[in-house]
Amino acid sequence: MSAPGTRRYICFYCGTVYDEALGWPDEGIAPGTLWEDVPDDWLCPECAATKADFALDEDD
Amino acid sequence: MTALAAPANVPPDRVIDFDLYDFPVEGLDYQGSMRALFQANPAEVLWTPRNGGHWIVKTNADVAKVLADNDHFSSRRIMVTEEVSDRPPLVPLQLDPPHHAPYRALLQAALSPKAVGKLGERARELSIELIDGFKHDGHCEFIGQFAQHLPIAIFMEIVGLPAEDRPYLTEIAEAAMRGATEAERNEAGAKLMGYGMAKVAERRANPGNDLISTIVRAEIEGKPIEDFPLTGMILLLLLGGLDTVASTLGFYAQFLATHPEHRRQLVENPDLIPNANEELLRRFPIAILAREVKADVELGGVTMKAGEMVMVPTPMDGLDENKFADPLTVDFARVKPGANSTFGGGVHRCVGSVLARTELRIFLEEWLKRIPDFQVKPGSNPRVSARSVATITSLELVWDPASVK
Repeated sequence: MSAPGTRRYICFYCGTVYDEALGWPDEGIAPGTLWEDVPDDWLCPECAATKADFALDEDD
Repeated sequence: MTALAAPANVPPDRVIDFDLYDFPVEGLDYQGSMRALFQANPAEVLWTPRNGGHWIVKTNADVAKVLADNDHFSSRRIMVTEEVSDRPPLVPLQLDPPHHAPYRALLQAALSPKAVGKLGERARELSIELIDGFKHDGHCEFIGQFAQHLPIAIFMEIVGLPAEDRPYLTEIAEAAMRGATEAERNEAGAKLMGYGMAKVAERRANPGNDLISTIVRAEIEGKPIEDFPLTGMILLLLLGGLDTVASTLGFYAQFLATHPEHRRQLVENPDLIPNANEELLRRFPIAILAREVKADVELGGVTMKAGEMVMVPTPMDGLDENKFADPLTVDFARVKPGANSTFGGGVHRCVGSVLARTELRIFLEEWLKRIPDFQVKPGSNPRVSARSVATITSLELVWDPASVK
């Protein structure tokens, strides 16, 4: 399994990937932001699913 | 207008005369027509005395709030109606958290992006087969020949039902969802349950690799699922799987048939299709949800009382101009049109939406490659039929057989 800082989380609904290394700068989340530090009210930028709808990419 | 009766907690300026099951639809624009009726009253939250009397939320913010707030809103009743139904609750949709979670996890595993990846390829093969079957004819009845065929056949593969049952199931699902009378809808619902439970008995005796077998074998809190919730689960699967994508495809096809510029854009630039798919989902939601108020709550300047019903029209999220500029216009280059409530929201967001999105995208890709130009048959008169899910009942399309590829 990937180490913190390199993990990827996938949106159940649309497949959008949150990559910890890249963060989500357009939404104010800096590169390197760990998943647990992403705000709980953050929504999938593509489909508005909640943070709870993302799951760790176990294939990494 | 005569005064409409309303409970004491409903301010008079919030009252409109709106019947979800009988309101005027302009052409086939079910969503735009509903929006126009709600926009005519400037208040944020409305109330109608029809169908037992219920609130109506009409902004993206309120739609999201109601769907996300499980402390004040319950999905134990999901339709605005005066009718009393004795059918088992649809599981997990009509269970509040945390009780819904173990049932939902079962469905979620079967409909995950990974699982759907494989199904998508099957959906593509079947789409091509169907389109190739009629493209040289120069015409088709889109709903029967494609919209009700593709998603229903794929769903039947997931749950392991025989292909020859498709016409029967399509017919009773339509009657259960939009039958003309309560008696007709209940009778069809009972037939659907009977069919589902017969399959459950078969799979108990001879389990396979299908979703019904998975559900039959599953344990919740260490025990097999009892027949009552199991019936509700199978019924939800059948209603969700048999009706919704078919209905959405009808709205997609009628839009493309009547908008040659949009069609051309996608034919010339297929890379736009994934975003176009999200944009069409935003513009043409088909589901009108409802929740029961669990505990008194303030919303949009009114007090909603426990026991009252709230209608949650999913089109009012994607068609809210505060969220999407010029919302009635379909713009395939729109930025992030997918952030909408077309599939609902909160803990009950549609578990089949990954598969639905995939099937809809495949339709756009494979249809436009083969039949790039088509229109609604002149003189035909397609109509919207709606209860809590809107559909186009028949859509005759025509094209020049020489133009197909």
